[in-house]
Amino acid sequence: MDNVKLAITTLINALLILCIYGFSSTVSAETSPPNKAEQNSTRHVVTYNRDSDYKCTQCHKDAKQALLGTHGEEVTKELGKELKCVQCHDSISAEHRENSPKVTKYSAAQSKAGKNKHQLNVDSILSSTANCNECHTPEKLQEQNWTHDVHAKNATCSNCHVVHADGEKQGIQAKPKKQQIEFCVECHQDFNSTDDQGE
Amino acid sequence: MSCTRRDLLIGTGAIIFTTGITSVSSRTLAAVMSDGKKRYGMVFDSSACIGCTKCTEACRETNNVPEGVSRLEITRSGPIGEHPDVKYRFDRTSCQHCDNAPCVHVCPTGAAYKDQATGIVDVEADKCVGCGYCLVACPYQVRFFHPETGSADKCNFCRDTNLKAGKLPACVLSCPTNALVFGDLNDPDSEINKVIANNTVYRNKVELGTQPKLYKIADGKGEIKR
Amino acid sequence: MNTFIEAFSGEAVVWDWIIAVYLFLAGMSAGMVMIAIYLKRKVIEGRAADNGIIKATAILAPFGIVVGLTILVFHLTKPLAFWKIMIYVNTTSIMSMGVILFNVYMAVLFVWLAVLFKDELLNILNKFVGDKLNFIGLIIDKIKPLENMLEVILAVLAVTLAAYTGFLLSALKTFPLLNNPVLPVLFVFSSLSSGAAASLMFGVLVFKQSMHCPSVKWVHGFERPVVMFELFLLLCFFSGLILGGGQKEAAAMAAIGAGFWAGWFWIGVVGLGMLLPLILNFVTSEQTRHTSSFLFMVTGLSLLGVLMLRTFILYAGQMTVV
Ligand code: SF4
Ligand code: SF4
Ligand code: SF4
Repeated sequence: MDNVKLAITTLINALLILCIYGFSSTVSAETSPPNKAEQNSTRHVVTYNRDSDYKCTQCHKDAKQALLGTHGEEVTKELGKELKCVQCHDSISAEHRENSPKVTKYSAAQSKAGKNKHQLNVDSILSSTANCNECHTPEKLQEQNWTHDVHAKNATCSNCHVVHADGEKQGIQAKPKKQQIEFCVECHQDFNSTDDQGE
Repeated sequence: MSCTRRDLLIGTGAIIFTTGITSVSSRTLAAVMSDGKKRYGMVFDSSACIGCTKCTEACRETNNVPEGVSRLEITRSGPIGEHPDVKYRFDRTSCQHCDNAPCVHVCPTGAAYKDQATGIVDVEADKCVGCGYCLVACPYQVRFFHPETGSADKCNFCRDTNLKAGKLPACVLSCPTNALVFGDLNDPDSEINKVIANNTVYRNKVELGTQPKLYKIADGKGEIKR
Repeated sequence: MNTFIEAFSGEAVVWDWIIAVYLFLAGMSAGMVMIAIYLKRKVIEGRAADNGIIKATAILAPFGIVVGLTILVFHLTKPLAFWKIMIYVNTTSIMSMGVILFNVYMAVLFVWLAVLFKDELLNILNKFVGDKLNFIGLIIDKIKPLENMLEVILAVLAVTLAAYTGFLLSALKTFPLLNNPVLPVLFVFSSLSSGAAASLMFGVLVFKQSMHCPSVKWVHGFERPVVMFELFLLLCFFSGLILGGGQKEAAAMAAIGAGFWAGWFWIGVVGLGMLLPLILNFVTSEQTRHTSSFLFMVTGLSLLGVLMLRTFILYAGQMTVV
């Protein structure tokens, strides 16, 4: 008799816990974004938490889409996985929302003083291009264009290249020769005229 | 011949040089001739050239040079060294405006001529019959047939374009690094003579006796390839 | 075949095979005239105009020079402006001097031929124009006493013309292989050998001059030393370049050391054009040597050799710049 009683109590308790769990999960499901909930049902739950780009794209809305123009399918194929924001933009700090003081950014900069662009010392330039150089090795770059070589210590990639770009239309490589020459002239004229004024 | 006096000056310069008297003025080096005429020349500073080829483009536009031919060429050699210290060398190939110009000597019609007032070697397109003798006679191999006119063509220091309009040659104006200096070699105070006097300069194939007026400043990246 | 096309379509070559053909034709014309004048003065007995070799010269020498100049005009980028080359003169230009030389040479050549072939000429004129042009005969008679002087002048002009084809190229400082003092001499002798070959080929085969007559014998005897001397000149030419070092050496080695043009030179110019005719003449019997097919082959080889030599000099010469 005692045994029967124990069994009934356990069953009722289990039912109660199940009810409470069921209720709570319904409640939490309602608070999450409906589209993600939908995804949850079709996909494995794990990916939801691991998409590190999700949070970034909440604010930097089109950045990812634009990136796929230059670092899309081909790169995914080569790396075996998608390129994530933090792979280039690391050290995101807690204060990211206030002025984002620490995150790694890529901007046009040169080793000589000029009116149009930032000046950086050689070490900073080398360390800022190092990340790109991991995939775009100096050897490959030399093969593609000799100008990479002479700018290794003197300019960041962003001087000529747009990474978050629409396809290859905005980078220097997409331009006709005449416009490519203007890239050279723009900076070199700038700091050469600054040189002259210094004398 | 009109250049005997200048020859003498060059000769004198060389003698003074070898006997070790250091007071050689820039005048002697640049072979100034005080005959009241101009003698235009150019300096190409290969240490300043970055190989952008803006000059080539500018010349093309100013002087109506079609694609496929060019009045000046910037050639690049290298790479020298390892990342991140890789260097390249640049050189300019264009008419040297020889004072003693083989192209002028061989031209059967006189279409290839040296303008006595400026020392510029030019082509009178109308007189040219297109025999090609000057193309083969130029030791610097800078002449070509203009695809539209059929006449021999080459750099003429923008004589009929920019110079006529009172401007510097197009390539000189366009160079972002000021690697080109143009001026009167007969004027001892001209910028070009100062640049020549204050730098290690050389000229291509002087041993042929062509007396070229395109001076080059060594790039400091190894042996000078003349 | 591909290397063949490649070798002839090199971008760097401003003066191509057309110029080589022109050099060949002008040289052949000059060579024939030199030989004909010598034959007429020293060898032929009787009326020179009846000799097959002289007849061949009368046809081929003007033909060579006229055709040569015609293809030259069409090689200009502006053929229609060719007259400017006649009216403008530049005394420092070998080509300009050459143009004058060509004109004088042609004029003297035609006058000399007219004097030689006066009867034939008048016959032809009578046939086609009637006797309206008979005054030409009178003019020729007036010139006749000057024939000796004409011949001397023409001989000098012919030698100059043959040398001119060499000077035209040797004036080019640009190319060490061409800028060579031996070149004009070499071209004079290759002109002579092409002239001799053409004289024999056309004099005997077309104008049926007997193989045993003194003039043919003389040309035959003359051919061998000329070719030998040509070989010696080639030796001087290239040893001079190689011993000169620097770009000269580089040019010589690029030309005859290896590659398409080296094969062209050794097999074509030296082998087919010079050694083979020499050997054939040496090993065959008197009998064979006097058959027309043998004569045709040997003279044909010589002519081919000379044409190949001119082509070789032009192309190989433009390969290496100072
Ligand atoms: S460089 Fe050539 S084209 Fe210019 S003047 Fe000298 S020989 Fe003539
Ligand atoms: S191509 Fe024209 S400019 Fe040159 S040598 Fe001939 S005629 Fe003179
Ligand atoms: S000087 Fe004038 S013509 Fe000569 S290369 Fe410069 S732009 Fe061209």
